[in-house]
Amino acid sequence: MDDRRLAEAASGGSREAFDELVRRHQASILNLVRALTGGSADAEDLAQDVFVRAWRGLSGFRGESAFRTWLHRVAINVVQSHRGRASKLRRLFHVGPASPDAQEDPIESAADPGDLEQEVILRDAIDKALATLPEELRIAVTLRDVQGLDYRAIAEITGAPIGTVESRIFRARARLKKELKT
Amino acid sequence: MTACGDKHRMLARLADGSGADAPTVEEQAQLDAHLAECAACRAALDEQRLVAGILRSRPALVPSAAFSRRLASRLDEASGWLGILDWQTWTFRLAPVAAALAIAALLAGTSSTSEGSTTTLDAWTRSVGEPSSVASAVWQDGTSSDALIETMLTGAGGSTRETSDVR
Repeated sequence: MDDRRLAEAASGGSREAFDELVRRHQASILNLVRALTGGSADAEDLAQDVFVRAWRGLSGFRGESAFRTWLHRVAINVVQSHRGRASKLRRLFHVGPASPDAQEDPIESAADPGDLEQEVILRDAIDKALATLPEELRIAVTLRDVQGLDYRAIAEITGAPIGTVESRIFRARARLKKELKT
Repeated sequence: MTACGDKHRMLARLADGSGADAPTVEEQAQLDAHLAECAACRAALDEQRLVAGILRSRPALVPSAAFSRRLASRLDEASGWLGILDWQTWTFRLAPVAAALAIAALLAGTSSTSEGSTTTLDAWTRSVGEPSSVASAVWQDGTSSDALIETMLTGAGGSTRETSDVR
Protein backbone atom coordinates (compact mmCIF):
# COMPACT_ATOMS: atom_id res chain seq x y z
CA MET A 1 0.00 0.00 0.00
CA ASP A 2 1.36 3.45 -0.86
CA ASP A 3 1.95 6.24 1.64
CA ARG A 4 -1.14 8.21 0.65
CA ARG A 5 -3.49 5.31 1.35
CA LEU A 6 -1.75 4.52 4.58
CA ALA A 7 -2.05 8.16 5.60
CA GLU A 8 -5.77 8.12 4.80
CA ALA A 9 -6.22 4.99 6.89
CA ALA A 10 -4.17 6.47 9.72
CA SER A 11 -6.19 9.67 9.54
CA GLY A 12 -9.26 7.51 10.08
CA GLY A 13 -7.71 6.21 13.29
CA SER A 14 -5.76 3.18 12.08
CA ARG A 15 -2.73 2.92 14.30
CA GLU A 16 -1.52 -0.05 12.28
CA ALA A 17 -1.38 2.09 9.15
CA PHE A 18 0.49 4.82 11.01
CA ASP A 19 2.95 2.28 12.43
CA GLU A 20 3.77 1.26 8.86
CA LEU A 21 4.38 4.91 7.95
CA VAL A 22 6.65 5.19 10.97
CA ARG A 23 8.61 2.12 9.86
CA ARG A 24 9.05 3.59 6.39
CA HIS A 25 10.11 7.08 7.41
CA GLN A 26 11.71 6.92 10.86
CA ALA A 27 15.28 6.58 9.58
CA SER A 28 14.86 9.46 7.17
CA ILE A 29 13.31 11.76 9.77
CA LEU A 30 15.88 10.84 12.42
CA ASN A 31 18.68 11.71 10.00
CA LEU A 32 16.99 14.93 8.95
CA VAL A 33 16.53 16.09 12.55
CA ARG A 34 20.05 15.10 13.49
CA ALA A 35 21.52 16.95 10.52
CA LEU A 36 19.43 20.05 11.21
CA THR A 37 20.40 20.14 14.87
CA GLY A 38 24.14 19.68 14.33
CA GLY A 39 24.13 16.17 15.77
CA SER A 40 22.36 17.28 18.93
CA ALA A 41 21.74 14.78 21.72
CA ASP A 42 18.08 15.85 21.53
CA ALA A 43 17.75 14.57 17.96
CA GLU A 44 16.11 11.25 18.91
CA ASP A 45 13.54 12.91 21.16
CA LEU A 46 12.78 15.50 18.50
CA ALA A 47 12.42 12.83 15.81
CA GLN A 48 9.89 11.10 18.07
CA ASP A 49 8.11 14.42 18.59
CA VAL A 50 7.75 14.64 14.81
CA PHE A 51 5.81 11.38 14.64
CA VAL A 52 3.67 12.12 17.70
CA ARG A 53 2.79 15.50 16.22
CA ALA A 54 2.12 13.92 12.82
CA TRP A 55 -0.17 11.33 14.43
CA ARG A 56 -2.14 14.03 16.20
CA GLY A 57 -2.18 16.31 13.17
CA LEU A 58 -2.97 13.83 10.41
CA SER A 59 -6.28 15.58 9.84
CA GLY A 60 -4.15 18.46 8.53
CA PHE A 61 -2.72 16.25 5.79
CA ARG A 62 -4.95 16.91 2.81
CA GLY A 63 -3.08 14.77 0.31
CA GLU A 64 -2.11 17.79 -1.79
CA SER A 65 1.55 16.85 -1.39
CA ALA A 66 3.33 13.57 -0.84
CA PHE A 67 3.13 12.27 2.72
CA ARG A 68 6.93 12.37 2.86
CA THR A 69 6.92 16.06 1.94
CA TRP A 70 4.28 16.82 4.57
CA LEU A 71 6.22 14.86 7.21
CA HIS A 72 9.38 16.83 6.39
CA ARG A 73 7.41 20.04 6.92
CA VAL A 74 6.29 18.77 10.33
CA ALA A 75 9.91 17.88 11.16
CA ILE A 76 11.16 21.34 10.27
CA ASN A 77 8.43 22.92 12.40
CA VAL A 78 9.47 20.74 15.35
CA VAL A 79 13.16 21.60 14.92
CA GLN A 80 12.44 25.33 14.59
CA SER A 81 10.19 25.30 17.66
CA HIS A 82 12.90 23.50 19.61
CA ARG A 83 15.52 25.97 18.45
CA GLY A 84 13.28 28.88 19.46
CA ARG A 85 12.68 27.42 22.94
CA ALA A 86 16.37 26.64 23.43
CA SER A 87 17.31 30.14 22.33
CA LYS A 88 14.85 31.73 24.79
CA LEU A 89 16.18 29.57 27.62
CA ARG A 90 19.75 30.54 26.81
CA ARG A 91 18.82 34.22 26.86
CA LEU A 92 16.86 33.76 30.07
CA PHE A 93 19.72 32.08 31.90
CA HIS A 94 22.53 33.92 30.10
CA VAL A 95 24.32 30.79 29.01
CA GLY A 96 26.41 30.29 25.90
CA PRO A 97 25.48 28.62 22.64
CA ALA A 98 24.00 25.12 22.88
CA SER A 99 26.72 23.58 20.77
CA PRO A 100 29.99 25.48 21.13
CA ASP A 101 31.62 22.80 19.00
CA ALA A 102 29.82 24.29 16.03
CA GLN A 103 32.17 27.24 16.27
CA GLU A 104 35.22 25.02 16.06
CA ASP A 105 36.71 23.28 13.11
CA PRO A 106 34.17 20.57 12.28
CA ILE A 107 36.70 17.99 11.20
CA GLU A 108 39.01 18.52 14.14
CA SER A 109 36.28 18.57 16.76
CA ALA A 110 34.08 15.84 15.33
CA ALA A 111 35.46 12.93 17.26
CA ASP A 112 38.50 11.09 18.40
CA PRO A 113 39.52 8.84 15.51
CA GLY A 114 40.90 6.38 17.96
CA ASP A 115 37.54 5.88 19.63
CA LEU A 116 35.00 6.08 16.89
CA GLU A 117 34.44 4.43 13.60
CA GLN A 118 35.06 6.32 10.38
CA GLU A 119 31.34 6.45 9.63
CA VAL A 120 30.54 8.19 12.87
CA ILE A 121 33.37 10.65 12.36
CA LEU A 122 32.19 11.57 8.89
CA ARG A 123 28.55 11.94 9.96
CA ASP A 124 29.48 14.10 12.92
CA ALA A 125 31.77 16.25 10.79
CA ILE A 126 29.03 16.83 8.22
CA ASP A 127 26.37 17.55 10.85
CA LYS A 128 28.64 20.02 12.63
CA ALA A 129 29.53 21.73 9.38
CA LEU A 130 25.83 22.05 8.55
CA ALA A 131 25.28 23.60 11.98
CA THR A 132 27.53 26.52 11.03
CA LEU A 133 25.14 27.60 8.27
CA PRO A 134 22.32 30.10 8.68
CA GLU A 135 19.05 28.23 9.15
CA GLU A 136 17.59 28.90 5.69
CA LEU A 137 20.72 27.63 3.94
CA ARG A 138 21.02 24.65 6.26
CA ILE A 139 17.46 23.53 5.68
CA ALA A 140 17.68 23.87 1.89
CA VAL A 141 20.95 22.01 1.44
CA THR A 142 20.03 19.31 3.96
CA LEU A 143 16.74 18.61 2.22
CA ARG A 144 18.54 18.45 -1.14
CA ASP A 145 21.82 16.66 -0.47
CA VAL A 146 21.16 14.68 2.72
CA GLN A 147 17.49 13.84 2.18
CA GLY A 148 17.54 13.75 -1.62
CA LEU A 149 14.36 15.79 -2.12
CA ASP A 150 13.81 17.55 -5.44
CA TYR A 151 13.69 21.33 -5.77
CA ARG A 152 9.93 21.47 -6.13
CA ALA A 153 9.39 19.56 -2.87
CA ILE A 154 11.93 21.78 -1.09
CA ALA A 155 10.12 24.87 -2.36
CA GLU A 156 6.85 23.43 -1.08
CA ILE A 157 8.29 22.60 2.34
CA THR A 158 10.07 25.91 2.86
CA GLY A 159 7.47 28.10 1.18
CA ALA A 160 10.19 29.72 -0.94
CA PRO A 161 10.22 30.06 -4.76
CA ILE A 162 12.32 27.48 -6.61
CA GLY A 163 14.81 30.18 -7.69
CA THR A 164 15.36 31.07 -4.04
CA VAL A 165 15.85 27.41 -3.17
CA GLU A 166 18.46 27.06 -5.92
CA SER A 167 20.27 30.15 -4.70
CA ARG A 168 20.25 28.94 -1.08
CA ILE A 169 21.65 25.56 -2.09
CA PHE A 170 24.40 27.19 -4.14
CA ARG A 171 25.41 29.49 -1.29
CA ALA A 172 25.21 26.71 1.29
CA ARG A 173 27.55 24.46 -0.67
CA ALA A 174 29.97 27.34 -1.25
CA ARG A 175 30.12 28.00 2.50
CA LEU A 176 30.41 24.31 3.35
CA LYS A 177 33.42 23.96 1.09
CA LYS A 178 35.30 26.20 3.51
CA GLU A 179 33.90 24.49 6.60
CA LEU A 180 34.70 20.98 5.42
CA LYS A 181 38.21 21.96 4.35
CA THR A 182 38.30 19.41 1.57
CA MET B 1 23.36 40.85 -10.52
CA THR B 2 26.46 39.97 -12.50
CA ALA B 3 26.51 37.59 -15.44
CA CYS B 4 28.12 34.98 -13.18
CA GLY B 5 25.55 35.60 -10.45
CA ASP B 6 22.79 34.84 -12.91
CA LYS B 7 24.38 31.45 -13.57
CA HIS B 8 24.88 30.39 -9.96
CA ARG B 9 21.38 29.06 -9.46
CA MET B 10 21.78 26.89 -12.55
CA LEU B 11 25.20 25.75 -11.42
CA ALA B 12 23.61 24.31 -8.28
CA ARG B 13 21.29 22.21 -10.41
CA LEU B 14 24.00 21.31 -12.90
CA ALA B 15 26.04 19.91 -10.03
CA ASP B 16 23.13 17.64 -9.16
CA GLY B 17 23.67 15.56 -12.30
CA SER B 18 21.11 14.26 -14.70
CA GLY B 19 17.98 13.89 -12.58
CA ALA B 20 14.64 15.60 -12.97
CA ASP B 21 16.19 18.79 -11.62
CA ALA B 22 18.94 18.96 -14.25
CA PRO B 23 19.01 22.15 -16.38
CA THR B 24 16.95 22.16 -19.55
CA VAL B 25 18.67 21.81 -22.93
CA GLU B 26 18.46 25.58 -23.40
CA GLU B 27 19.89 26.30 -19.94
CA GLN B 28 22.62 23.74 -20.50
CA ALA B 29 23.65 25.46 -23.74
CA GLN B 30 23.80 28.84 -21.97
CA LEU B 31 25.86 27.34 -19.16
CA ASP B 32 28.26 25.59 -21.50
CA ALA B 33 28.91 28.85 -23.35
CA HIS B 34 29.49 30.70 -20.09
CA LEU B 35 31.66 28.02 -18.52
CA ALA B 36 33.89 27.93 -21.59
CA GLU B 37 34.85 31.54 -20.85
CA CYS B 38 34.62 31.80 -17.06
CA ALA B 39 37.21 30.07 -14.91
CA ALA B 40 35.56 31.26 -11.67
CA CYS B 41 32.28 29.55 -12.54
CA ARG B 42 34.11 26.37 -13.58
CA ALA B 43 35.75 26.35 -10.16
CA ALA B 44 32.41 27.07 -8.50
CA LEU B 45 30.82 24.13 -10.37
CA ASP B 46 33.61 21.80 -9.22
CA GLU B 47 33.09 23.06 -5.68
CA GLN B 48 29.33 22.46 -5.87
CA ARG B 49 29.85 18.90 -7.12
CA LEU B 50 32.44 18.16 -4.47
CA VAL B 51 30.35 19.36 -1.54
CA ALA B 52 27.16 17.74 -2.86
CA GLY B 53 29.09 14.48 -3.15
CA ILE B 54 30.36 14.71 0.42
CA LEU B 55 26.89 15.47 1.81
CA ARG B 56 25.38 12.58 -0.13
CA SER B 57 28.02 10.25 1.28
CA ARG B 58 26.91 11.13 4.83
CA PRO B 59 26.43 7.74 6.52
CA ALA B 60 22.80 7.39 7.53
CA LEU B 61 22.01 6.88 11.17
CA VAL B 62 19.95 3.72 11.68
CA PRO B 63 17.26 4.01 14.37
CA SER B 64 17.94 1.65 17.24
CA ALA B 65 15.43 -0.86 18.55
CA ALA B 66 15.19 1.27 21.69
CA PHE B 67 14.25 4.30 19.57
CA SER B 68 11.44 2.35 17.90
CA ARG B 69 10.18 1.00 21.22
CA ARG B 70 10.12 4.44 22.84
CA LEU B 71 8.36 5.93 19.85
CA ALA B 72 5.74 3.16 19.91
CA SER B 73 5.23 3.84 23.61
CA ARG B 74 4.80 7.57 23.03
CA LEU B 75 2.30 6.92 20.25
CA ASP B 76 0.42 4.58 22.61
CA GLU B 77 0.21 7.42 25.12
CA ALA B 78 -0.93 9.85 22.44
CA SER B 79 -3.57 7.36 21.33
CA GLY B 80 -4.74 6.35 24.79
CA TRP B 81 -5.98 8.01 27.93
CA LEU B 82 -3.07 10.40 28.18
CA GLY B 83 -3.89 11.56 24.69
CA ILE B 84 -7.26 12.74 25.93
CA LEU B 85 -5.45 15.55 27.68
CA ASP B 86 -4.67 16.86 24.24
CA TRP B 87 -7.71 18.84 23.07
CA GLN B 88 -7.14 18.05 19.43
CA THR B 89 -7.15 14.32 20.08
CA TRP B 90 -10.20 14.75 22.28
CA THR B 91 -12.24 16.61 19.71
CA PHE B 92 -11.30 14.36 16.82
CA ARG B 93 -11.35 10.93 18.34
CA LEU B 94 -13.66 11.10 21.30
CA ALA B 95 -16.31 13.42 19.97
CA PRO B 96 -18.76 10.54 19.35
CA VAL B 97 -18.32 9.35 22.94
CA ALA B 98 -18.83 12.86 24.29
CA ALA B 99 -21.93 13.28 22.17
CA ALA B 100 -23.36 9.96 23.37
CA LEU B 101 -22.79 11.01 26.99
CA ALA B 102 -24.42 14.36 26.29
CA ILE B 103 -27.46 12.67 24.79
CA ALA B 104 -27.69 10.28 27.73
CA ALA B 105 -27.51 13.24 30.11
CA LEU B 106 -30.23 15.03 28.17
CA LEU B 107 -32.47 11.98 28.21
CA ALA B 108 -32.01 11.63 31.93
CA GLY B 109 -32.78 15.31 32.36
CA THR B 110 -35.90 15.34 30.23
CA SER B 111 -37.30 12.24 31.94
CA SER B 112 -37.25 14.07 35.25
CA THR B 113 -38.83 17.29 33.98
CA SER B 114 -42.40 18.15 33.16
CA GLU B 115 -44.05 17.10 29.92
CA GLY B 116 -44.04 20.72 28.81
CA SER B 117 -40.26 20.85 28.66
CA THR B 118 -39.03 22.15 25.34
CA THR B 119 -35.77 20.21 25.46
CA THR B 120 -36.35 16.82 23.92
CA LEU B 121 -34.22 14.30 22.07
CA ASP B 122 -35.87 15.42 18.83
CA ALA B 123 -34.92 19.01 19.51
CA TRP B 124 -31.37 17.97 20.32
CA THR B 125 -31.11 15.89 17.17
CA ARG B 126 -32.40 18.78 15.07
CA SER B 127 -29.94 21.12 16.70
CA VAL B 128 -27.05 18.97 15.50
CA GLY B 129 -27.78 20.20 12.02
CA GLU B 130 -27.59 23.83 13.09
CA PRO B 131 -24.11 25.20 12.49
CA SER B 132 -23.90 27.16 15.72
CA SER B 133 -25.14 24.54 18.19
CA VAL B 134 -23.02 22.86 20.86
CA ALA B 135 -24.13 19.48 19.57
CA SER B 136 -22.98 20.40 16.08
CA ALA B 137 -19.65 21.62 17.36
CA VAL B 138 -19.08 18.35 19.23
CA TRP B 139 -19.93 16.22 16.21
CA GLN B 140 -17.92 18.10 13.60
CA ASP B 141 -14.47 16.62 12.99
CA GLY B 142 -12.97 19.97 12.12
CA THR B 143 -13.99 21.79 15.27
CA SER B 144 -10.99 23.33 16.96
CA SER B 145 -10.63 23.16 20.71
CA ASP B 146 -10.96 26.92 21.01
CA ALA B 147 -14.10 26.95 18.90
CA LEU B 148 -15.59 24.09 20.94
CA ILE B 149 -14.97 25.88 24.22
CA GLU B 150 -16.34 29.13 22.81
CA THR B 151 -19.46 27.36 21.59
CA MET B 152 -20.00 25.61 24.91
CA LEU B 153 -19.59 28.83 26.86
CA THR B 154 -21.56 31.16 24.64
CA GLY B 155 -23.81 28.88 22.65
CA ALA B 156 -22.55 30.63 19.53
CA GLY B 157 -20.45 28.91 16.88
CA GLY B 158 -16.84 29.80 16.42
CA SER B 159 -14.45 28.75 13.71
CA THR B 160 -15.16 25.14 12.84
CA ARG B 161 -11.97 24.20 11.07
CA GLU B 162 -8.95 23.19 13.01
CA THR B 163 -6.06 25.45 12.23
CA SER B 164 -2.72 23.81 11.95
CA ASP B 165 0.75 24.91 11.06
CA VAL B 166 1.16 21.79 9.00
CA ARG B 167 -0.85 21.15 5.88
